[in-house]
Amino acid sequence: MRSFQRGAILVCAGLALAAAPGGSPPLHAATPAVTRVDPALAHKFVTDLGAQAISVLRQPGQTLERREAIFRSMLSQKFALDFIGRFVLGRHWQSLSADQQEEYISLFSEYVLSVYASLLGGYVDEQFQVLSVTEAGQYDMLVSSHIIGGGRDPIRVDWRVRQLDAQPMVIDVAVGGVSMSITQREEYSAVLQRNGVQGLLEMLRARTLRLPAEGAQ
Amino acid sequence: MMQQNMDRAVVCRGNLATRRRLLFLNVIAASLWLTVTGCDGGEDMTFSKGYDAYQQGNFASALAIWKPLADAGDARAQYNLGVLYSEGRGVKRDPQLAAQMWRKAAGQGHMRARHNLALALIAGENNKQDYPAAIAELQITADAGFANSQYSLGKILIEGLGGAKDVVRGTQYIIKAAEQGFDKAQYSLGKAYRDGAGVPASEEKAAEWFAKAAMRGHLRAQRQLATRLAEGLGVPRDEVAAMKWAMIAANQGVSEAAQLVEQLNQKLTAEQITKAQTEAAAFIPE
Repeated sequence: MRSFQRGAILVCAGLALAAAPGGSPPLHAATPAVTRVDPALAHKFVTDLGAQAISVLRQPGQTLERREAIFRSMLSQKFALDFIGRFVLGRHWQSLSADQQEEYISLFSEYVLSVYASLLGGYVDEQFQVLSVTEAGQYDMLVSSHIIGGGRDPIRVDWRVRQLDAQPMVIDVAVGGVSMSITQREEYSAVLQRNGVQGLLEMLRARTLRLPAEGAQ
Repeated sequence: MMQQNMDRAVVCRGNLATRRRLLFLNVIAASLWLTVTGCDGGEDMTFSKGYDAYQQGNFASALAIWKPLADAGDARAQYNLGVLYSEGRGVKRDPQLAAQMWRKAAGQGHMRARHNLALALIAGENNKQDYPAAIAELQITADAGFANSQYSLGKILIEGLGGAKDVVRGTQYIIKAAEQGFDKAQYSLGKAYRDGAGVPASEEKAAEWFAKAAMRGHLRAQRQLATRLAEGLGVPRDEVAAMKWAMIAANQGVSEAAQLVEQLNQKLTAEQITKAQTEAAAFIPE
């Protein structure tokens, strides 16, 4: 039952994401060319991402905050953040001014990267393993992985990879079978209805301006 | 207790074995005494061990070390526990518990906790966004000089969230944060001067603040600066410098910057492009 639910959520996410490229393009960027991603390439792409994550996040001699900043910078080149951000906003995207669209993509990217950085996050003895690659829709591959160790329960993470402008890019992440994009889309839609565009921007800003843990003075 | 033990050591100085035993007991007693009174910073040492574990990625250990301190009323431990719960590190993510921890620490005057509590009230992860309460907290931390709080409060006042818009007062908070070197505030101030919102319009000042934020690694400021350098808007036209900044932003995934790189590629010589590439590669944010 649980695995059916997980599958159902991913199928829903996949359908929604598959529909996204047909929408109108971002006002501030050219629409990237979409081509089918090779399964072996998708496998290598996610394997490398996991290896780089662990390598960067375990780097000695740097603070956790610095290691995560480097990691976020690395991730930003592997995630189609404009695409994901637009998808999450759905039909509301067109109601934002150009300035608001720019601000939203910037805040959304920063927030999402911080969530993934703390998810993959620099845990001791952490291991990242790719389990399988399956086709998802016309263009995408779903790369399933799990993160084990680090003194926490194993986490299953599914990466939806699409080739944009001849580069494999992550367009969604499902943690424990729940699509982050779908979850965010539902949450943001509710915030937009309640507090409008500025309420959404302020919510994202609040989530990116939290201060980290402190050491002894 | 320490003094009594020391006195006893003096009385018994004739017997070497006894003296050694008493010396050992004295050291233990002194350590216990100092730990109880906090004179040796025992609590600080325990707190620091938690922070070391946190920095090493051993979040479960950090949690185990800080939890008893937090339960005993240590505001720093309460604040840090809030961070662990908020980010789900070493524990299941629990924004409500995080806010509770920050509230406890804030009640003891812990400013960082007050700041994070205010942001939790705005982020509304479990409850609806509560701007009036958040503004009240941010007012205190902003006036105490926290750049993050000044910037947050400035944006809320400018947008009129939870109250009437106050662009002038909001911009004053943005200026305070920008002057402290907070890159997001510097970028916002650049836009304020560009648009004449809360300050008199000035392309030169806009470019100046975009440049400051760009130097600190702010991607949108880098893109703005690149465009301004390419067009000579508020700064002398310099297409090589424009290419440098566009390359830096494009490498971080800013698509508009990538478009500018393509445009400049058509205009600049191979030598100019190499110069821009070299400078972009050497760039390290302040």
